[in-house]
Amino acid sequence: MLQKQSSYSFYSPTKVLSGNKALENLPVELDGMNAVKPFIMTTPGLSVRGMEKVMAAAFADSDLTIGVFAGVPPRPDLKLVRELYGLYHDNGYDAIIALGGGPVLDAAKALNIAVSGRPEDLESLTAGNPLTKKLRPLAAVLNLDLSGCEMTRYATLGPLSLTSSALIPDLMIIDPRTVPAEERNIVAAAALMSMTQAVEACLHPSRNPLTDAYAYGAARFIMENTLNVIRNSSDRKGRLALVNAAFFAQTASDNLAPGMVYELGMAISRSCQIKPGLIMGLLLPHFLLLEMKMETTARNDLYLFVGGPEAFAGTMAEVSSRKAVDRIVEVLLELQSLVPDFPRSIRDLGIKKEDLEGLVAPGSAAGVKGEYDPRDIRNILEKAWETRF
Amino acid sequence: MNNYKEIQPGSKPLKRAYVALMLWFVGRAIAAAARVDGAVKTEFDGLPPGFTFSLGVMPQGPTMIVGKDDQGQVRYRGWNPEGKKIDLKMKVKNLEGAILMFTFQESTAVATARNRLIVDGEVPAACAIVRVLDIVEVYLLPKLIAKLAVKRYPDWSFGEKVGNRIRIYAGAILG
Repeated sequence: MLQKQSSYSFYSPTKVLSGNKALENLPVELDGMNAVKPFIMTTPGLSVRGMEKVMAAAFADSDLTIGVFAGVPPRPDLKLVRELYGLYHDNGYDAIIALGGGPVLDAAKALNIAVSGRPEDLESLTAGNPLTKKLRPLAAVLNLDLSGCEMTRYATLGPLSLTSSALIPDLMIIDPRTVPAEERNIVAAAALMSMTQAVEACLHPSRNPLTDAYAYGAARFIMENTLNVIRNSSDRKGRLALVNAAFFAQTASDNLAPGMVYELGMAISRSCQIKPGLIMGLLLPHFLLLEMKMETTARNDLYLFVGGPEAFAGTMAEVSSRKAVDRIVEVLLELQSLVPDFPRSIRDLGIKKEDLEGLVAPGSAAGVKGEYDPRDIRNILEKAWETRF
Repeated sequence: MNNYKEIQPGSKPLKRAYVALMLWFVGRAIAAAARVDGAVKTEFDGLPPGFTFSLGVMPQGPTMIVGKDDQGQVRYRGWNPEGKKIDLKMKVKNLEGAILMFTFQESTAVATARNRLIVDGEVPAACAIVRVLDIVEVYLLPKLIAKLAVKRYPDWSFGEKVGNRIRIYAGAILG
């Protein structure tokens, strides 16, 4: 059953523009936010792939001058933000456009804090002091290479973890030209990460009607498009659907709390060079089997999210949850057959069984940040270590 | 700093010229259609005396202005909105959106649904103008293309359609 509670809160300040020529709306949208000189940040890789030119073309005929910094590294740090702070102020920019996911959004969010106040505000926020000034407009132009927290209140800058609802981008543009075809493992990782966020939001004890709606949209888009996008790299609509799904899933997750599988995937990926989404895919079925046993959080309509309304309607209630797990495993197996070097188990990542205890220990540096029952974490990790899909 | 540059984005003169030409022609065709087609006339009759609307592209045009004069006749009133009292401003948010509309890849209704238009004025009047645009497009375009451009292709008799089409084309070209 969908939740019927009437007392809840939900926050999503982002305006989303998705579809053909969505990028060309940037000048008018920025104008609506009193911004006339945007600073565009991207990675050298995306610049080489021509994204910078696509962005510049979107501003043609707008009379706006744009600045482009195409040097965001995989792990941006405070030094970079200080340099960009000078660049931003010296040249009179008044808005930030992050072109690309992951580190670009991390750096853009951090820069936005610095330019809207002072660079010292970054350390202040990390120390737990709230932001006092309204941030400048921030627009996100995402592709499929995602970290899972682009459209959320979180950002990471070197050792600094930044958290504030003011960091959520004001605008999100999803345009076919800026969502290029990616390698199969990148698409699979993005889809599985979003699926994990959606499913965990859907099963979260504090879920509400709006997180349910976002999680449902994410789950349906992922289940209907992921395999097509991986098999057929020219499926532009499918790629857009997956980026939309990422937004839905991140927003649902951001309104609850990061789930256990998401946290574990992130924690494990820090010790190996595998994309966290692939790890989450290996953990998710075990988490669901565990959830099925818990009466407090279980819901009997997960298969509606995973299998769609027709399949759900044709399934007996008693087997519905099991069908949801089976469907996710089916997709996981298919992804493993399509994606080269997709690990079959977390054992394939070089993790020893004794290493798992480091992830279980509450408060450990390697472990998860949320408060979960260590027995549940151990249970999931051991099963994921022993099982080879 | 490495990897940094400031860019002055260029312009799209050909696309701008094409949209300007289309707006000029459609504006004159609307005025002609108001004299020829009963449905267009009825739509304008429902609008207040002196009603003037503009359809343009943000941020700096091109624009077409069409309005009713003191006698209730619908007139194409040029491209320059300066000094004119405009009751309804319809603006396409960018040139690429206008190109999608005026190359008939998107109908006016679809463009509206996709948030490509900003309307400043009364919504009923805007709806009337969208209906007028649909009718005019049916007259101006071959059926194959018009079916892409309008929400629903009307079921008109061949004679009525061709007769009115000739008169509207003549009115748009000759004024």
